[in-house]
Amino acid sequence: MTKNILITSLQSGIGKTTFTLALARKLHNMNIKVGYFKPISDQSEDIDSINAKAVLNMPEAIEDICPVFISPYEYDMSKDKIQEFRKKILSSYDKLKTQYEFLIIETNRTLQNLAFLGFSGIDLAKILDAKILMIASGKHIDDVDSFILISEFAKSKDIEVIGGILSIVPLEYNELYKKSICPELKEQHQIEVFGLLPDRSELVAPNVEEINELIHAKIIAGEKYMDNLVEHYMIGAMEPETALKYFRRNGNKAVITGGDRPQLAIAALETDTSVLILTGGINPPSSVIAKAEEKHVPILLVPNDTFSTTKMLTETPIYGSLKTDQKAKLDAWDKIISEIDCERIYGKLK
Amino acid sequence: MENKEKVESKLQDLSVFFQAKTIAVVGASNTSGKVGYDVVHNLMQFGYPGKIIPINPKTSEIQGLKAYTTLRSYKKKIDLVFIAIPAKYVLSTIDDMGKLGIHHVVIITAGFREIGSSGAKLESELAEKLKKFNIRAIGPNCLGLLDTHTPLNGSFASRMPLKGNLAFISQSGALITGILDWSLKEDLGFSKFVSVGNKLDIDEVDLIEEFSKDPNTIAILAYIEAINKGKAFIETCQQVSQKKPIILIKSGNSQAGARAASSHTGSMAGANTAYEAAFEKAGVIRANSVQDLFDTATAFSSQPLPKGPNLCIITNAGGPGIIATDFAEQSGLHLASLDGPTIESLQKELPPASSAYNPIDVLGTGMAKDYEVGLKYALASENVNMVLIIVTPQGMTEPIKTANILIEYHKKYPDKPVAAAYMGGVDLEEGSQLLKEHNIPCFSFPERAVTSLNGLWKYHQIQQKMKDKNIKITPFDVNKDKVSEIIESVINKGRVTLLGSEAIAIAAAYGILTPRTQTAFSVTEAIRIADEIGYPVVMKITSPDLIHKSDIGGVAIGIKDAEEVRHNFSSMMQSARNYAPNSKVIGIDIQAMSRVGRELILGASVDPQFGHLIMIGSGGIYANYVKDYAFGLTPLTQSDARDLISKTKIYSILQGVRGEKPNDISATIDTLQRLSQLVTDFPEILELDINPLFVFEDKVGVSAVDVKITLSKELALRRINQ
Repeated sequence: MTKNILITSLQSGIGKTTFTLALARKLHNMNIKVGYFKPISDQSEDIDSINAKAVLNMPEAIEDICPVFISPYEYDMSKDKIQEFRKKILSSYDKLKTQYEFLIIETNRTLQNLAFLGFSGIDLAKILDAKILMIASGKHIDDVDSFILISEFAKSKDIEVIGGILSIVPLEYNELYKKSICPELKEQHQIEVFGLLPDRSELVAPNVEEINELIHAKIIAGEKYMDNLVEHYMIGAMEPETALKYFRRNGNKAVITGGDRPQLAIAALETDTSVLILTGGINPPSSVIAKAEEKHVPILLVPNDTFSTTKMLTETPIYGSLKTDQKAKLDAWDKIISEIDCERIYGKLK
Repeated sequence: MENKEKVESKLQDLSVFFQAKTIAVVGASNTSGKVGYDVVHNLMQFGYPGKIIPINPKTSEIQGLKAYTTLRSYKKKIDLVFIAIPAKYVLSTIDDMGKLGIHHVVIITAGFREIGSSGAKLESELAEKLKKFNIRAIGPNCLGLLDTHTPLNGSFASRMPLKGNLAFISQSGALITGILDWSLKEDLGFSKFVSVGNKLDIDEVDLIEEFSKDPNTIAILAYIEAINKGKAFIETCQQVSQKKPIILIKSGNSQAGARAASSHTGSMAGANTAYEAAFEKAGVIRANSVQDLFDTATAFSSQPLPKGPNLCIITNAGGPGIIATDFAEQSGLHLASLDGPTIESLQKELPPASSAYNPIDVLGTGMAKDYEVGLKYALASENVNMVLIIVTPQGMTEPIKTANILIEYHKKYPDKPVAAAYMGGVDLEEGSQLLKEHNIPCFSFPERAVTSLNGLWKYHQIQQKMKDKNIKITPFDVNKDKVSEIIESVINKGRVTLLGSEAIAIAAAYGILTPRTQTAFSVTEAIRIADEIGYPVVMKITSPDLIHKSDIGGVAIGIKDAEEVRHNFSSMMQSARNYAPNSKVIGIDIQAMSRVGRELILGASVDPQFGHLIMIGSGGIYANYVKDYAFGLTPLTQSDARDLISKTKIYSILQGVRGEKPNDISATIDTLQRLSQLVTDFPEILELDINPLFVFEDKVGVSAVDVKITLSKELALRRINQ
């Protein structure tokens, strides 16, 4: 039987879940009977598992796809409780493994998460008979150091690491990675890199709807366009003459500005903007609303000031989810996953 | 069904709006104070010669005319419909028009885009319907239109202007009612008034085109808050201004004014530089105030265009003569210098204390015969292109006789424009009236008279310039494919801002001289590139996110060897990462070190209304404070480029001062034109900055050492997929 694959990383927020789902979907489309398993989640209702179930058409109950909930506030749990969870994981695993050729297992957050309770990525790989696939950010070249650490550590625990994936790689670095860094990883450290996932913020970008879940704004225009993707935030606080030049530097953006700055709102609407967030609870002139309708841009009105609104939005990372109803996003992922040698990954599981 | 071609040509012809034989008024009313009452009432009281069909579902008679319940119930042909009913009912009226094949409508009704979201939706539905039924519309949210020659007063204004030959287009309905009332007092006549309202279909561009063909109109005036179809505006005005002067006021010059205009119209009204450049390219005269607008327009109805800017002033008062002189020089006219024989003749025939030099002062005792002497020699002089007489009420002043003499001399010299300033009120009233009756512009103050004459001179210059517009620009031989390739790769990488090396490569592909530049992603690569280029080199952080590189220690110059490259690479990357941990800091541009020249800034930026605006100005660290910039719209001809650079203050320095050698102005002009060609070929270049452009000595050329480019993803993809 093909071994399971456990996907993990030392960093969070680098697109692990999205890659996991995209890989599962790709293998599923290659007619391989693959299941998704997330033994532990720190959310009582695990959205990743719900999405995976939908993407892979899994008939199993969510309680079996993601059997255990542990929050970071219960590190003081008893040994019996730990034992109970271990059993629960194994019982769900036993159910799943009869149905699938192999399972794609995802750790909660990072490799080290829950190590205190004996549920680190390494522990889980051991319990669930899985090989490890590493994922690391390729944003800075020195991020590849994490590959060495994971693989050396796994080796010491007799767990096999099949290789790694680099995510959010600036495309400008492609050549450098392909020509010198990846070959060196292979030669010096025996780590195979299966591919580079480009830095395409639209793939993990939330839409206006998801942003609004955080700020609970009043929608005063463009209600039909709440699925516009938001990749950047920009603040409108400059002289109107320089606004256009500034706003043009980013596309698919949320522009946050005072409701009493119609010229900035209009300048933003002249550029590639996904949503206008107007602060201070001040309604803009009707001409701005009319223009937003014409340009298919929602306007969100919030009572807070520009600074605290921006702070709230930028300090809470919102990752757009890969939901099955977002066809455009799924298509984009199918395209991006073609950068990864999935067949080779599959071959490594035998 | 009418055949398609016939419909098409009908739609282009807007004369129906002014010469309709049958007009229906939807919402016609018997209740005074309602718009639907006023429109019917005005059509009737001001003598509209055609048939008026009031439409009202509730009554059978409106103001003595037979009324119909719907458009459909009137079985004969209707040419034009006025709509004055609540907004929600307008669409069904348009449906009726569609079924009946009526192609022209004036929608006076308000409650559309100007009220916000719901109105905007209604307006876009209206737009679709108009398109579907091939209907041309004025409005919505407008005052209506007036034609004094037909006559046709299809508005809710309470008066009718005097018959005249000025056409006036206004984005403000209220301004029309104000001007109309004022013009009656001033005896100023108009051919047409149109209130364009929200400009859903017909706007100033269509009307300027239409009025250019109107035999009753000799000058076109407009009040504009924002122009939506900038390129069409320029093209149309360039054509029309060869035939008739276009004079307009664009409000929103000041910051607060721009804010108000933006809020009012929802467009980027603040871009005053773009409007200035557009008006210049279009060949329109810009007025600074409502008074300025009409003073400028007044002379066109009776006076010829001057052959030159040389003005001669004849006055009976020293002070007003000097005021007029100052104002003329400031406005762009010149005081003519009279030749020896003219001065001698004047001295011989004028009283002894008079001044025979321009301004010619016939003294407070000056009588009609003294003005006659002045006019006789001034108008005969080849050095004089136009004459202004100033009359103040003094003991021996003969205002009526003087007026008659001016009228007589204007007939003798019909090729030279004249104007008068009758400074005063009651005493000069009769003389002033006499001049106006004989179509000689006469004002109560000399500045206004100068403005009027200056309007003629400005228009003469525009006509000359517009002739050159037909000269074709010869494109440079450039590497378009290379630029395409770079842009495509940038867009594929998910960026809209270019790295320094990419922007420089684009400039170089269009023959703009640049130092060799390449991006390194690692120390090893940086050293290899620097070795190839040769030391010393410049190193610059390259990041699509960071704009001000030098502020964060992201620029190092005069790097002498590999060890310095190595050291700087690490420290610069680290400093950029510390400064902006979330920014993409990709690598370092390694650039050949350029010699320092005179620093200029060049730029291109897309204005939402008018397209690419090219900028040139003084560079260096004080650039933001000196604000020495000039702007022009693409495409730039060689003379456009030369004009642009000569408008800057640095131009005089570039020509060489204090014994310095002149700088390479022709290479700078060449660079401007190449830049213009680049952004015209690649409309997706939204912003391009060359800062600095070093200009070296004459014949040595220029060097664009730093180039920044921002693209529009949408426009780039559109061009790529073509």
